Amino acid sequence: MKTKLFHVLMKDPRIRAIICIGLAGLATGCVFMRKPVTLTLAPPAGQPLPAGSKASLALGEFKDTRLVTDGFVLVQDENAYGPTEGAFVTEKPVAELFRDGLRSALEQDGFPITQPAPYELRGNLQSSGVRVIEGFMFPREIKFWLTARFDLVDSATGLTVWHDTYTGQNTTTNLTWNRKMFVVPACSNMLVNTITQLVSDRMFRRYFEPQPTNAP
Amino acid sequence: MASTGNKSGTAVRALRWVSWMALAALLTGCVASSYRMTLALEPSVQDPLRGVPKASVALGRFRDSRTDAAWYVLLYKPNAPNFLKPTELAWLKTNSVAGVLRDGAAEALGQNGFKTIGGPSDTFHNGLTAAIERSEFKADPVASYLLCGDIKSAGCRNIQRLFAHSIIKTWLTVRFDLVNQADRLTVWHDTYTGQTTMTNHSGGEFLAIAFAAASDDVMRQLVTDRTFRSYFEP
Repeated sequence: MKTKLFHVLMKDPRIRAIICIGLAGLATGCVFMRKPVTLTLAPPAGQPLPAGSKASLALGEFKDTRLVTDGFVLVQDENAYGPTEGAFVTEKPVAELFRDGLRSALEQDGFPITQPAPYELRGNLQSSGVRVIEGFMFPREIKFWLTARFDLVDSATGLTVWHDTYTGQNTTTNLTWNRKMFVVPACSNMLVNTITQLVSDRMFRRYFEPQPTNAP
Repeated sequence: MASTGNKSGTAVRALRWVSWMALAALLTGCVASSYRMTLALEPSVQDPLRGVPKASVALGRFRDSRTDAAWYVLLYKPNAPNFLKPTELAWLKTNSVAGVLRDGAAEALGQNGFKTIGGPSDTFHNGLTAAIERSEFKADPVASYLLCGDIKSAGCRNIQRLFAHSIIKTWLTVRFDLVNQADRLTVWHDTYTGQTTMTNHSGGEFLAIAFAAASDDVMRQLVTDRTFRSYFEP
């Protein structure tokens, strides 16, 4: 009975058109919706700073100049024609989450964070993106990347004493239909990777590491 | 009779193909427009140096090292990622993009109290011989510093919206080097990315406005950079 009704309905071109429009709406709707996600950064402990660091730092402004619709966008969705307004969005601005993650990484490694401080660390999330490597029938792996610039500013003079730009990456092969399942951990790892590059940079650490007592 | 019918059928089929091809040409033609134009930047940054500058600066060589555009291409709006050709492209009639940016930098520095020494707009690009580039470096021996530029990348990112015009984010990334003329060493360098977001977009005028806005943002970052200013501020 059900099958017969289905066949009768499908013979009507108007019903076929409505079903097609509905399917198109469903298919495109996915990439035009904002999907809220929860992201917390937990950077691993790195090499701790030796005791008695020679200066402290304050965390300054962290800007977000990525080419995305707004600062809450973790990843902009894409269809075959390029990026869409659909996105995975976080509860707090991504720059703020990144700053919190960086603060916890610095504290874990023994960087003294005070307010005010001789140095101020400023950041700028400059660009981010996704690259899909296609397999035979389905995507094989997805690479997430983020480029961030950091400026260490001398608080007394307002001059930049050091700056560098890092690109954090993460590749995921564990692709599932529920995209949140891999987007959130991959983005978290990508942000942590960027933070780790900064915290382990020897030129950056030089401003805080105590002078060796047996230095020539 | 049958033969006449076959002939007319063939003609109709041929005509159908011709009309399909014309339609395809029309459709693709619309999205592959190129605009030839002139452009002069008018930087809006207003953050003058405090006091008489302690050093002068000459505008040096501005390069264009974009890998996806020729030296005269101002900007292009890309097609879908799977298609390589741009949809809309703006290119300059007489000057190079690097030359336009160099003039813009001279204007921005001049109006903010920097003592600039520099010749007229150049038309230099990556195809120049090394000899000409070297002579450009010796152009202004009286200036303390030489400011050189390098366009690293520029482009438009089209973010589609379901029921409205797309959002177009335009960016321009430029590296600046401040060279001490006495020893020819770079004393300072930095890279800035200027941006602008627009929703009303079509034609060459849009591309020119978007490029001008992005370069204005670059100039603002350069002129207001405290480390850069420290070489000139008394």
